[in-house]
Amino acid sequence: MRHAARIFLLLTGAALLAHYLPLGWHILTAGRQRVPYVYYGDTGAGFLFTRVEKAGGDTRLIHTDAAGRALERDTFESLLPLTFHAQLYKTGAMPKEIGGVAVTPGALRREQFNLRVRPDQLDTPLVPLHPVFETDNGRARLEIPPDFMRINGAAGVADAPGPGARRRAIEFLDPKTNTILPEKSALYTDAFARARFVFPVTAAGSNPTARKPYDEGIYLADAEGQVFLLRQARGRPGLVRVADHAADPAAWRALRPRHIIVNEIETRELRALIIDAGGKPWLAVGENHRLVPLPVTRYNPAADTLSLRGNLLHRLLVVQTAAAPGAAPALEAVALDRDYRVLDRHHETLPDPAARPAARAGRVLFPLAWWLAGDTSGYLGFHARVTPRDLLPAAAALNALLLAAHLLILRRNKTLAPARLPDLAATAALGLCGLLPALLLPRAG
Amino acid sequence: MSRALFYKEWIKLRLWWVLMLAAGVAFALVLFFKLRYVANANEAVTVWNAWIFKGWLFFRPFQYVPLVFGVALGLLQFLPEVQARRVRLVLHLPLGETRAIALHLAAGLLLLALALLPAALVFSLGGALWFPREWQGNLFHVLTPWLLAGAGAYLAAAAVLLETNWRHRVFYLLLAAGALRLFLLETFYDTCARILPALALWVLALVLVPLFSSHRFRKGLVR
Repeated sequence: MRHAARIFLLLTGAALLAHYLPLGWHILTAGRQRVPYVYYGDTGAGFLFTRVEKAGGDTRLIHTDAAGRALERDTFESLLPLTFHAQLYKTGAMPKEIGGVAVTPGALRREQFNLRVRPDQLDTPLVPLHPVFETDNGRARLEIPPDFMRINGAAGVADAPGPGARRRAIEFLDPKTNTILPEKSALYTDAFARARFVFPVTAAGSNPTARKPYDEGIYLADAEGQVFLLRQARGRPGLVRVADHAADPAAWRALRPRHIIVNEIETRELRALIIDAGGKPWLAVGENHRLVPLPVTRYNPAADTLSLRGNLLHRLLVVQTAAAPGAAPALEAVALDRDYRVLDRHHETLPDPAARPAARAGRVLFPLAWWLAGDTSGYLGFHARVTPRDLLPAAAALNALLLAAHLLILRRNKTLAPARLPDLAATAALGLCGLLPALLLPRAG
Repeated sequence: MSRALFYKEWIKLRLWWVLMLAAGVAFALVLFFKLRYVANANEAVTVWNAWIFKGWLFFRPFQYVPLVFGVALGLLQFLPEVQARRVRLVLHLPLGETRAIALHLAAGLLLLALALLPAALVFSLGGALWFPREWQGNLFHVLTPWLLAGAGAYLAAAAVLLETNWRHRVFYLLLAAGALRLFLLETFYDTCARILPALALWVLALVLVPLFSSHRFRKGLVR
């Protein structure tokens, strides 16, 4: 027991130090990762950037073009009239048309959108209850639905409530009474059965807010990977298989969605952003749900951030990739026309925060670091990093020094015994994080 | 003899336990009535939206109560024993030192659980009045790490008090503080769902530490 207790204390101490010491080191030494903000010129200037430049101890914003030439702020803004329209209207420099397209404040507002997909947004705790908005409630504004839909996933139909009754596949819950609405549940269960929806739901996407111009509905992928669109009009369900109404039904049938993101914009151009089982992003656009593959060269939805911005003239796709084994963090921007054809591409490698001298020193000092809260998931989980291969000799040398010191201390205290092997192993493997608890631990006998 | 030990612990702690139970239930009832007020003052759908989309859980102020109860119970149970050196008698009982201390710990953990579970029941039954079954899952995933933190705090307090060396006491305190902080990191419902088994295993293994301390206490080890 006492040896087990001692080893448990040693492991706990080493694990806690491997958590807190690298965290403290990071807080003391980490700098801000300066990611440039990318634009695509509205008047043929190509990619433009706002960067943070460090000059001495000071930082300042600089505006540059794709060649890296610094631009005056006024010049920069005049190249991006659709972005800085408020300033250009104020100075009277706003063009009336660009490339034959009339520019009006109403059109500017209507056509502008910004859709951003972060990894933690795709892996986050959710209560599986969906508010089903009225797509056509006869009112000027959307209203928050008075009930919530629960998808049980078991296609059972109960005619009468009772102990022997099976749950309905779809249940509507009334928050006022905290009870199931039997009629509406039956209506929706029938709609799912009629549409030949195969339970369970494998992906669902909707935008559960009333602060949007209209309601797109709820996209649901069934067990066979088929995508359905559920809408409610005046209390009646409408569930359709998207492939049956799409311009490219074969592509929809082959799609195996893992994540579906819905973000309604006033022009109703964007239907959904879909990330398939292989991590490839697709966009469903237009009235006939045309499926457009987003032309990014590297995107891992579990680690990278993707954003799609649009305006009157073009779309800009930006992917910020995190550092991966053998690949530095990078920024990829793809300018698309309004028909989602590639106009231009930009790729740049971002400075790797892990390559900074202080971060590298941290990886030598602490061969193992772990943390619970990551920026890639809404859940707490065990995330760990070990010393990279190029720093292993340095880390091993430091650990060897610490091990020698540990041996000397044990010899001086006349406590060098086989019972100390776990302590020495902890120092050899974890360096400082193993040595400190080993020295502070009580003796077992 | 086991029953006699349990009885001794009960006699020693019953007043404090009743106070803890009353305080826990009273606090849970206050939170329940606050929920009732919120539910009556707002549209039910607004309350559900706050829960589903903003992670509002009415029992969240209860977060540190199990931790405080755990520390308090550990102190109340072991401080008198250690101060008066009565624990030496316990360690020399024919039960054996490990079994005797394990029974003390079992009694303490049982009393801690019985002090906290009625409050959990108030949350569960109270929540069931206004929320559907999905809410109970959130309650489980949010409350369990707090209860485990309470059990961990109790075991750590016992280990600290039974330890004979001040340097090691401080070491245990630092370990407990560093570890138990991780039990209370949750910011939204279900965020701890994936680490719950690891947290539970750690608390289970933590039982070894007060037993280790009691062994050192009996042997008179001071290094």
